[in-house]
Amino acid sequence: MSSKRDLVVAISFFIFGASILYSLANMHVNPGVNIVYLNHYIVPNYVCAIIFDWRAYDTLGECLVLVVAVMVSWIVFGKSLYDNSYLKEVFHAPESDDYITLQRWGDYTPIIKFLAYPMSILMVALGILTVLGGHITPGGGFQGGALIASGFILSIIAFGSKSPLWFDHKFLERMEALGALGYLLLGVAGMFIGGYYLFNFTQINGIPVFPAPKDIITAGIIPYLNIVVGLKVLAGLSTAAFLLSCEKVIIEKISKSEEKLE
Amino acid sequence: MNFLPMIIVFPLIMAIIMNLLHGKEKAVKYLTFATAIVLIALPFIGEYGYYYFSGHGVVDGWISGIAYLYNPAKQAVIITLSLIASLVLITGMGEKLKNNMFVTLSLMGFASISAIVLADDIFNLYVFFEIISIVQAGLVFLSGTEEAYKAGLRYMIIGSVAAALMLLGITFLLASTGTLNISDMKHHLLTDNPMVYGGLLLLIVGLAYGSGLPPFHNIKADLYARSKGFISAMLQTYSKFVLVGLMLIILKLFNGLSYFSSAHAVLIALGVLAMVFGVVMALLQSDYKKLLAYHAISQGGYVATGLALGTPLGIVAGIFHAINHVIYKSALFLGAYIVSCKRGSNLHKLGGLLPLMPYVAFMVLCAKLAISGVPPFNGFQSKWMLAEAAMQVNMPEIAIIMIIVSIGTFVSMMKAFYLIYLKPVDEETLKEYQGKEVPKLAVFSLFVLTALCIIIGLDPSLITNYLWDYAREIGVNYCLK
Repeated sequence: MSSKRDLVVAISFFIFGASILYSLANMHVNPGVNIVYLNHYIVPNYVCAIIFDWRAYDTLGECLVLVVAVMVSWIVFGKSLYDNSYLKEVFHAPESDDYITLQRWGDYTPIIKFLAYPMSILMVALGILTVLGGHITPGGGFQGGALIASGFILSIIAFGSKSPLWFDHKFLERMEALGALGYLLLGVAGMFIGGYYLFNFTQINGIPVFPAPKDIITAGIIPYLNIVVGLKVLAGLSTAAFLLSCEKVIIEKISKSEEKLE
Repeated sequence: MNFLPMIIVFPLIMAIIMNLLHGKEKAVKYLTFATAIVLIALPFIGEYGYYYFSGHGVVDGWISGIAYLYNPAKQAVIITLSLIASLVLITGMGEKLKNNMFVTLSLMGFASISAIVLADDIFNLYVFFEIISIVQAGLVFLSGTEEAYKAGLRYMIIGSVAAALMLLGITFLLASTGTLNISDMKHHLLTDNPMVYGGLLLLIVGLAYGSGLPPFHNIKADLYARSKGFISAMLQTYSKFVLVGLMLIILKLFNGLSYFSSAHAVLIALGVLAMVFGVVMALLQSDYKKLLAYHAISQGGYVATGLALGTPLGIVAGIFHAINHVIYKSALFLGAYIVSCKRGSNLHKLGGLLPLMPYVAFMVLCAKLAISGVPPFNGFQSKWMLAEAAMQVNMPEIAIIMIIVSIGTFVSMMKAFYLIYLKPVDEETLKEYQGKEVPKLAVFSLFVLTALCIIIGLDPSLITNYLWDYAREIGVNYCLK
């Protein structure tokens, strides 16, 4: 019985894969709308112009995917559950007072600690540079935010709870909300100034929105969008890493929600 | 100024604010009531026509930015969606825990479904499609049981594959036409290129995943069955409107092209299979919520069949049935929620609830008659239109299957009604029932939905008048010989 079923599954996968490969083999690429994107200059970084000006609304959606994913991971680990008896079964009482229970892996050697500290500072600095220069150099909010978050994660892995680079989880939560709200509200501002949602306005009453040299005066709100996306990605990725590595906060959440239900 | 994007942006802003209000129960409660009232006003603030985000309209002959298309048919869908969303939000505030994450995720879901329905840009649709699949899993996780975790995780794992395949399909279409805008893409699809077939196939995979058509019907039904009653009402509304939104886009792109006729058959087959599988599985269930969940799949099959016919009448009947379906099915799920406040949802342990809540029983009976297609309720009107549409294209066998499935629905619904409300029980159980309160806000929402069932059933033109123009625009009349 099961071998027949396997056969059917194998054949249907084969047909499916073959049809996809067949259509790939007959690929004719039509440049289409990309020519429009290349012929109209907005900022020196053309990718950034597409992401934050031509298709800025898609970027908002991409940000919200990350926001929702982080929210759902909070829920998985016990925020606002209607019933958390199952989660309590899964998580037992904490074994140590350490904030992050990475200690079972053993302490890292001083070499790693010595290298990780300056490295994470460098990564944070590079990340900030990438975010702020997103509209003129390769990079942008997403990449820069991910760089800062990886510096943070590196430091946590090397030092555990005594990490010199530390964000509180409530602070991270607020920062993420601030990033997403900032993006949404910049869009609303564009709606009131230019008439369209996420309109890229370069000046208000003659005052330039983004003071810059003459060549990149058209950047308008793009640098600000970069910054809010950077904040949001940094907070989102840090929270995700933090939730996966830290049990104590989860257990605290569970006991707090119990008090509320009683 | 056109305030159309506010339909999406306002719920998103409120969702982010709600996320920050964790633990402040009073603030959550009042802000949710205020938001629920504003949601109902949202569909009326936009103007009809195209809306270009960032002001990037037609440049060098191409639509360069992201466009939305708003018309009466989409307005009807969004009015229904906002009504159900606000009723569910109000019901959720009757729970002991005023749950801010429930509100956040529901509002996110509302915004993404509106975006999917409105979008005239296929990549923008995909972005919000991804948000909605995460939101649905999150709403299921909220109930916190082991089964809920399993159902949500399974949905997410399958979703990562199905949504990725859909993205591949979108890239195929982008590569062969050079644009993401649906109105533009339609003009460049005419070349007979196998990549377009590939794109259509992969879009259908995404459609089946998002709306719970086979082969994804089991994971979807599990999702509805494992969450709380009012959350299931929300979830099934989301997937019906994902079905409508995606199906309208597939029809707009491909309907009338020579190579679409074989894909037609695939879509109709998916719809019919969902209809039959759903009702057969529902007849076997002993859990009330699972029974309702499989009926939701089965009714989704009706919607898919109607839309897949591709004639103007079929499209109107499909959208109309989707709207009717979310109304009466939400009523039924709210009824299940009220019952589960008394004593779980296992049909064999329930019984004798009629003398305790006669009004609720009557309203649930109305919804049950509506889902089985009994006049004068709304289900009858749309099922009648669906059968008429099937006859019009000379496919009487589909009309016959629809009637048989309706009979199956009636049987299992009446069985459930007997087991819950009429079956005699002993004194102790009655005492146990009396100790537990009926959630009043849920009864209020149930009343509104039942009233709508009867009003639309008496005057279907209230909704269908909205739908005809768009259906004539994208539908193609044909008849099998």
